[in-house]
Amino acid sequence: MSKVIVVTSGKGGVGKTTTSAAIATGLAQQGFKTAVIDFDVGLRNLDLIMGVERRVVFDFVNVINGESGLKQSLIKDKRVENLFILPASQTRDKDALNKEGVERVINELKDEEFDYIVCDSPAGIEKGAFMALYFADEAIVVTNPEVSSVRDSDRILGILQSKSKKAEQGERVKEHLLITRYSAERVSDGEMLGVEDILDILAIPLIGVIPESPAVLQASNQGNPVILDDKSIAGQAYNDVVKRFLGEDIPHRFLDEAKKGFFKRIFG
Amino acid sequence: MVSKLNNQHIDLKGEMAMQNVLSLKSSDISSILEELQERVEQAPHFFIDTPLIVDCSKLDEDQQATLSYDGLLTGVKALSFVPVAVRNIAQEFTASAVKAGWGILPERKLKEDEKDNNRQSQVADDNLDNLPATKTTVITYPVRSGQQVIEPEGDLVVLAHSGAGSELLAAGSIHVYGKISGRVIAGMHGDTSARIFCKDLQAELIAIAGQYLLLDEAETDLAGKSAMIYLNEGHIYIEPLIF
Repeated sequence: MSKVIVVTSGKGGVGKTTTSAAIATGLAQQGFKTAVIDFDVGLRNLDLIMGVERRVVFDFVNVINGESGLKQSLIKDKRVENLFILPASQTRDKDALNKEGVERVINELKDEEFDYIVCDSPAGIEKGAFMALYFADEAIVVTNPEVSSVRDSDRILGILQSKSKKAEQGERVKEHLLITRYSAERVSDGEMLGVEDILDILAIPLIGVIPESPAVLQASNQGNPVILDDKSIAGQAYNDVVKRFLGEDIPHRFLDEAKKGFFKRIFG
Repeated sequence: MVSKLNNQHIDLKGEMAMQNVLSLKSSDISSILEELQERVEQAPHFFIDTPLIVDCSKLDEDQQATLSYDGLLTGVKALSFVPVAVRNIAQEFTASAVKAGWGILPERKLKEDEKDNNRQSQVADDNLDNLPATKTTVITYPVRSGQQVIEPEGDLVVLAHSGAGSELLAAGSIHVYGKISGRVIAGMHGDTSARIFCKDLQAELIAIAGQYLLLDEAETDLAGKSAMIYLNEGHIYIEPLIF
């Protein structure tokens, strides 16, 4: 059975695309046939972060419009087996997306026996975000430890449980909370919300906390999903997230301030 | 000779009714009245002409002996209560209470209490057919920012929290058993008897039958606590949810 996962947040710049890339890569590493779709039509980034920018020939909108076949549009990752990327179109806008078209593409992926279909949502609550979450079975809600991000996540959770296809059928989309850019140091200084504060507001299960790490930016710039950097704490944290997603019981790490020496060893 | 009760003009029944009970912890009459006045001032209209029962179970015999039943009666009357009866006082003091004008209620024991409750529910069951049907919507999942939950005919019960920027609306009363952080609008069609009950009051705005209050501007120390919100003569009152 294929599962559709939406990575969403409401707010922009919190790490949706980084997370989509990491989780799709992680699932593929675990042996699952995985496709990751960029729903951010007009502002495509996923292909950059996945390092396949120069291999894009056809995109998601082409497939929706029937201008290209799914198979010829999917970009096969060269690093990880079983991983495929469907990039967004840079020259179009969100109006190019429609429910029927998106559903057809998702159904075709299901027919191709993909285990996981990861939908990278654009920011906002408009058409692009709506299309990305509409067919979702599960949602990974990405939040930064700050008030406006948490509020927007609350909003998107509401939309998820009222406007998605599952909601229309009287079912619920399974929710996971992922906190990114977490700095234990700044939490203890009172500059950031703590994990408990965020859980108190959103009240959904926590799937992981990704610590703030320079490795994330570095990985993005190099077009390498950060999960492949298993020396970085962010990479390790994403690895834990994937395992938890697959049902393993792993304690949360990186919640406390690390000793200076530890950072030094890795980045020094 | 009247061998049978002939109830053509009256029915006299023993019945349990909701009453305000003033439970005394000391016999110092001036302090009692002072504290009672403070409570009345929080919701002046709520207590006008309401019957009052005085419970002496927390007083020892000395305190029951020194308590001025006369002064208590005059004092509660002055605060616009209608004094009814005292209960749980020792036999030897009933005379002075009756002389002051109080009635005497029989001692309340737990067992009898339970019996009363059983009898009451029996009565309630018999009357079920006569009750107007109201609709109640129960929400078991959190109400998120931007979501609106409306019960246009009856009451709304939320068994989770409501987020900032959410809206709960009902024709009748609204109960929230998680934290409320959004807006809560009870009596949306103008029912002034609608109330809001909540366990953790953090709402941005509360409204009953068109009267609204921003919690930030409301002078209440009940933010973050359990509270009942109701309307009385056009004013919104926030009171602790403790009985």
